[in-house]
Amino acid sequence: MTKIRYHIIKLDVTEYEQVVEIRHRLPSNYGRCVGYVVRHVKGIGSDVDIPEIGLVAIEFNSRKQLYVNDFVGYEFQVDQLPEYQELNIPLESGQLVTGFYLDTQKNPYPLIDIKEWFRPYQVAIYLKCELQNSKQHVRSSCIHPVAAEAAAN
Amino acid sequence: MKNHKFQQIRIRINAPGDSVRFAAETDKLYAKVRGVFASVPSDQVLVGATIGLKINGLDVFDDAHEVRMITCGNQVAPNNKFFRFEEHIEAGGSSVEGRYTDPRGTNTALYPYDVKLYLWLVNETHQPEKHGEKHSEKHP
Repeated sequence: MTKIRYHIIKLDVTEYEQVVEIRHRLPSNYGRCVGYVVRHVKGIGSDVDIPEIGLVAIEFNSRKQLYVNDFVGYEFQVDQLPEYQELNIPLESGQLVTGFYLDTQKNPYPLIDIKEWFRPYQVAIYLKCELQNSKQHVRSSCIHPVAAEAAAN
Repeated sequence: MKNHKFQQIRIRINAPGDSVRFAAETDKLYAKVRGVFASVPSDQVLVGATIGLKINGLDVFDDAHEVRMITCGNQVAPNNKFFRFEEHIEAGGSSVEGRYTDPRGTNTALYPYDVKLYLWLVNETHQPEKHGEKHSEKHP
């Protein structure tokens, strides 16, 4: 069985300098977060790369650990395969991934009103997670007596 | 017998916003899927395109996984183009299923087009070495 899952958290940015809250519950069978990458998905239509369009902060295990504080850029063309930034965070079952995304785009056209220039866009956070070992799955199924009986039969 | 094969799966996208299911089977002569690479004819149809992938009934990518995460530009050397799986994913006649979703591009002149999904099949049983590591010889 595969042990790695790529969990995707998508964020919609609809306003200039908007702060988008991240509040997401990971599946309880995830045991460890081993990497992340944050990317612009769609919306921005620039013909050149933009080194920074926003900042992201991600906390794990319901705000107990702040591990990611990073900026997000925009790539006009596909170059390299995206590489995951390595992490090693044990995940507590049922806890939240929280944090925020802040839009920090600069207006490239100072004479144009920001409302005319800004376009809503989407950013995705990819979390590379390892599943817990199978022993813990067996234990969790025993909580439900009906399921345990069915499995035994 | 050769140890490597690049198996191609073609997915035809006829219209903007199409969501197409695909299914195939890996070559029986190869033991493991080492990596995957997606090739599309234009960057315009890449932004926002997603792909879900299951091999041998096991989830590899969710349906919301961006195609951009498993592709790269022409300037990348062939050996580094593939998104490599870190774990053992069995080939040997495994079923490959998935769904490709087009991002509803505005340039209708690009349609229809083919997405080519390449699976890198290998026969080696050991893990591929990481970049920078050297072979170490064991002396008795």
